[in-house]
Amino acid sequence: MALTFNPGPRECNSGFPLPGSPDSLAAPASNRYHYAPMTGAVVQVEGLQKQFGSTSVLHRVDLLVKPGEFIGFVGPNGAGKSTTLRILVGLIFATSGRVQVLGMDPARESLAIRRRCSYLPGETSIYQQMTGADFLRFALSFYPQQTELAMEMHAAFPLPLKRRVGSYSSGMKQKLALMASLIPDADLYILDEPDRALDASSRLQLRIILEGLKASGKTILLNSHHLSEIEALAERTVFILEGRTVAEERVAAARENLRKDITLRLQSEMELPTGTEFVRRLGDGSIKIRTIGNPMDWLAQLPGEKILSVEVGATRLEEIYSLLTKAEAGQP
Amino acid sequence: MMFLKTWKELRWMALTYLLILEAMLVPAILLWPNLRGEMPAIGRLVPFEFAQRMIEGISNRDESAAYLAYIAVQVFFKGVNVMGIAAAVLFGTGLIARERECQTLEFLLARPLSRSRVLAGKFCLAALAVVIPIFLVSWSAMAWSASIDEQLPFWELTLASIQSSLFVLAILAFTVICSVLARNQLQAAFVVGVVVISQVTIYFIQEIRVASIFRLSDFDVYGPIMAGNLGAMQLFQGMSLWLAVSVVVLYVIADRLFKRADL
Repeated sequence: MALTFNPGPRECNSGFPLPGSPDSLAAPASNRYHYAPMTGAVVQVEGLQKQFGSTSVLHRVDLLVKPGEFIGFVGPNGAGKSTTLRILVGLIFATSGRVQVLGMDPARESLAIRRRCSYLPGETSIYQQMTGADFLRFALSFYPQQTELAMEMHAAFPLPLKRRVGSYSSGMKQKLALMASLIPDADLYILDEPDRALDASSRLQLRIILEGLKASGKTILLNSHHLSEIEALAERTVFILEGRTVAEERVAAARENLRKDITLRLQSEMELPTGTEFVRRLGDGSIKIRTIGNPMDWLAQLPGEKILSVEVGATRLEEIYSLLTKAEAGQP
Repeated sequence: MMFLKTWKELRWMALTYLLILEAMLVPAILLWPNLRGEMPAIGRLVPFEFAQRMIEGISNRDESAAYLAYIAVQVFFKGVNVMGIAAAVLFGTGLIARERECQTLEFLLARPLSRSRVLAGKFCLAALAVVIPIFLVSWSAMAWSASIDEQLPFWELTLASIQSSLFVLAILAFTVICSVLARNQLQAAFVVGVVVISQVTIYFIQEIRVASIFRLSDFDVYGPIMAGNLGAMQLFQGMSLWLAVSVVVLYVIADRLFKRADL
């Protein structure tokens, strides 16, 4: 399904504009918020630490998100991604460190931040007794403006809105939560695992919608375990491991290491030239090799007729992630 | 929308609470003529001094005075202290702890909505849901009393309702503190339950009864109010004022704790 996006905001006075109800698209001028234009960083986090009692969850998180950027936030379970995102919207408070979101301190000005930022919580539930339409009306009633996405989201995520949320599947609930978080017109979208419980086609629709938001200049901070989604959407990826963001130099080094990787499929078994750091046989019959020197020089030593296929220096996010997490765990 | 949502959550419980309060009152009033003669015998069975004072009041030779004492016991001492407190605990513990337990609190507070506004909206509706039935039931006692040819004074009934409402609101405000701090509704209800039961236990021990909050909501308060011996000025300059101050202080503590809580 092709979706079109109009970045211009709509205004509404009573929340969710159901299809065919144009009455909700006009608001009194007094309800409108006038936002200051963003000049500096949208999110700036330095040396963030968080402790729950005696348990330290975040040791040192540094993050910089500029206006209009789409940032992927990646890390294993329990690394501190959701904790960081919750601190950004003022749901929990930092133990130490400096946090600024849209130029404001979430510990003191979280309400002002949440007026300009839409947050999709990761582990949350929605009111089971409400109908889908009631829930959307309730969730959107706090925002003065909505994007044109309302209609697009309906098309992307068709839901039986007259039914009670309690009767929805987990995927349907996630779609409803997504609509409640993506329809408001915000400067910053903080999305904690938005693709959780979604089927493949819904994930595709979500990707199209996020691309639309990105095209309209919105700033997006996305936490997801689906690295392919992040790879496809994010301009930059921030890794977080055991409560620490991974320095960009370390990511660059990992990327550089991976550039020496060769995935090779040979016609038949043969002895490989020397100059390899490791050789690993993959499940599909191909061989993964990391060369010590220039991979092209190493490849030149192979007889061309023996090579069925070759891929050099492909640095997939998944591989960088794997390399970083293994290094963190002390594995080779 | 916030008010509407909370009202939808509370409305059936509030209606049930009102009906139970009323259901406790109606047979008590309709049975009054039969019970009156049995009071001296009941009084001999009760060992507590405060209970004997109640029985003496109900056994008064002046039937009108006896009936006022009887209503003070039935509507306020028994009805409000049992059902009013139960309702306050049920409504109050759920306000925040149930949202936290159901994992809806994070979604709610991710909206551009201040924590103070969330708490105020929920507290106000719970307070109304707890207090309005007290007034409705006490005023309805006037109509039921007429059916057995008894009279009840409107102003004294209203005054007793104000006093008992303030008492229940203080319990509600304390319950909201527990709800803010607890991980789930059961945990909050357990803490409030322990406090209320220990206060009841203290009330029944003559030597330390002075330390029980139930002294602010017993026959020694409602009996004189209904008899017209404890006026509005005395109440509002004394224990009603302290109860009102307690409600405000406890609510402010709940609000501060909620503002600083990690969700």
